Amino acid sequence: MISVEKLTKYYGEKPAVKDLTFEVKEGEIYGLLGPNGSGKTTTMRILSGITEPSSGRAEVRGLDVEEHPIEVKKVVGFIPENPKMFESLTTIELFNLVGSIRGIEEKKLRIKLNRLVQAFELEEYMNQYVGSLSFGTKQKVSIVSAILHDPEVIIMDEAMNGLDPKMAKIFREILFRLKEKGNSMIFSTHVLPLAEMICDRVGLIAGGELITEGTVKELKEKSHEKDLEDVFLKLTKSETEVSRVINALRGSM
Amino acid sequence: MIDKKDLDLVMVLYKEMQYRAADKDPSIKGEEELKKKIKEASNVKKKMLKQSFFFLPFGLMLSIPMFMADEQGVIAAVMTSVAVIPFVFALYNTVSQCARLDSLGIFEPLKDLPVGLHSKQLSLLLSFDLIPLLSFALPAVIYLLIFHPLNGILAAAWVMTGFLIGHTVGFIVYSEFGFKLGSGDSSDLLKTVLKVVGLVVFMGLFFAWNFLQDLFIARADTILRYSVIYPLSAGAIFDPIQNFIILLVHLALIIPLYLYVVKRVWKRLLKKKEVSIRKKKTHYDVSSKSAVSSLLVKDFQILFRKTSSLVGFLIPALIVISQVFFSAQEDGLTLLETSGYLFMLAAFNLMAIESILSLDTISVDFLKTLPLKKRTYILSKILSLSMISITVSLGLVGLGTYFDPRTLIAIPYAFLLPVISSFIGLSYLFRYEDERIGIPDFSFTNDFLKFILLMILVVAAFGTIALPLLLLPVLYGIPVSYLIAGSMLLYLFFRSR
Repeated sequence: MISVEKLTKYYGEKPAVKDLTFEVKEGEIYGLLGPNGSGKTTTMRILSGITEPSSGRAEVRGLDVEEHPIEVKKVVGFIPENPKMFESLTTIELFNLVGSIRGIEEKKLRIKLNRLVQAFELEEYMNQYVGSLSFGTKQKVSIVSAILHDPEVIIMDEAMNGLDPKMAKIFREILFRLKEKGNSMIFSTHVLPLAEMICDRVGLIAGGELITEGTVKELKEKSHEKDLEDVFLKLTKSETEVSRVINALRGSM
Repeated sequence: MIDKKDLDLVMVLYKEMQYRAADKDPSIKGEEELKKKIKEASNVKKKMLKQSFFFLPFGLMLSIPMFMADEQGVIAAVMTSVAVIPFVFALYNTVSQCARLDSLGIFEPLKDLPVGLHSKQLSLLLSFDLIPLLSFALPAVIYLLIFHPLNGILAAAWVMTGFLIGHTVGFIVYSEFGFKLGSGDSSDLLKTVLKVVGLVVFMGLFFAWNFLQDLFIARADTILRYSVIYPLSAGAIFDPIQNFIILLVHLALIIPLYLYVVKRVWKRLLKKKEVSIRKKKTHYDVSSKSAVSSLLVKDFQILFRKTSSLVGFLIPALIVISQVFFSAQEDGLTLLETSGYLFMLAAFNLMAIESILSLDTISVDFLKTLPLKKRTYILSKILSLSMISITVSLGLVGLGTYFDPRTLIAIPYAFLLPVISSFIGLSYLFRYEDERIGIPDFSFTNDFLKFILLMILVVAAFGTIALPLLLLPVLYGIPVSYLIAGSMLLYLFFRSR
């Protein structure tokens, strides 16, 4: 469903993503993990048809993201880490705008919206300006905007940020249902237990390159570690650096 | 006073402003080009000199009648018109730049820091783009300083005062008519309507002043010889003593007002957004339209909530309306004159491009996640840009019809011309190859050469449309002219596919 082959993206002379190759199957949740600045967001923006790759190939449902960015956006729902929505529109005006641009007919939009608005407890915020919403509520609005058109592929960049435990659980349930329906998903997070709970397979990237990939169990076995955090630190070669900083902090704080 | 630390901080903010605008410009390809553009834009001294140099020829053109005049009356009349320009541009630029600063969010990182921010830094930040505008008045002032030194000093003082008045009025417009987040209920709608009406009335004060002055002149012989209210007061420089007193009165009023208003604007820009916690289920209306209509509706929803953005549209209209106002007062309006003003209004519509693009500056990344074709986006922007010009044009046709009933025949111009000028302007700015949408970095004052180029393209198109009016009797010329305009619009439409 998603196939990435030798994907590279340069910003200036420095590659943000380098020769990245992986696949996400139908009905699979793929976790993209990595330290800050490792190229996760760039990869997800390319796969969502927002940013052009410098070289390599990426396909979403057989559509080349470089050649058919608009078609790709029709089948993808992208939840950005820091959504910058129109602050002077009300929530319902924003949803109507998204529905209209996505060409969802009014009847279908009404049914879909009623269901999602209820699930995400947004009823009381529908006539309020997006700019006046709290961070968590904005995140819920961003999630609803991204899945309003029943996307076959969902790409989530720290999508659970700001959600309270109840909402996070509801969202997880929604993701599992979509997975059962055969939707493919890419999920990026720094909350490793969450990745362990949700993802079927994870890919670890650092410096724009894929270090390793597999199921969480496989990665633990491969690195002889008990939890994903230790696997992460070991494979991204951050263990020594973490110990050094902790020791330095002990002396100074 | 402003010290080096203030200046350093302002320079950082200015550079950040250039970066954020350039970063969203899809015509800039790659990091190197971006760096080059920001480096160029951040060289403030060079940029100000360049801008001043670009504006100078236009100032010269405006002042030519003064250079050729023998009578003081003519010089005074030219000085009045020259003195209006810094006022209008300072007003326009102050409002649009404040809205831009706000929409680019350059103050956000500073809000949580213990940085000593002062309102004077705001004026300094804006001054980089404002000061070059004084070039418009420079030739007239230099001429007067050479040949009538005392009057020249007064002229220079009036230009600066007009500039300060425009800057202050711009601040008032921004702080009073800008977007303030409310709860989104019906009382907000009422506030929005009141704000729009208030803004139109506020902008109309210019005409009210002139009307009052006419009234003074008609009623009181003693104050007949010199004008008391800016901008006509700028023409009364040949009565130096009285004029100097009037100047002092203006400054005594405007300086405290400026100091008060700049603080309000600064507070507004630095204010943290309040989060709504209302818990009440409300009814909501779901609707689905075509992508172009929904984007058009979105633009107007934002525009009428951020009423300060309307200034970008009203200033071009105001320039033309002021001409119409004086022309209609003297001899009424003929069909040909009204048609001429319709062409002028549509051409000046290009000035509003900056405002219509700035509505999406922050949220363009959100739009990029949607399957929105560049052409669809441009079409929506063309319609948004044309709407206000079309409305004002229809009002103008109504006024023209009052003086000359034949003017009704000019109604199609009110629709065709603004759409054509918007089409030309936006097609040019969005001419990059990529199918993805973006916001071209375009500002009327910063990209004055580009603006002039667009104006030349529009004037060439309009010249072709107007040709039958000049070659044929008006009533025969107009249908031929419509045919040309219609064909041109169809050509532009199909070419954009």
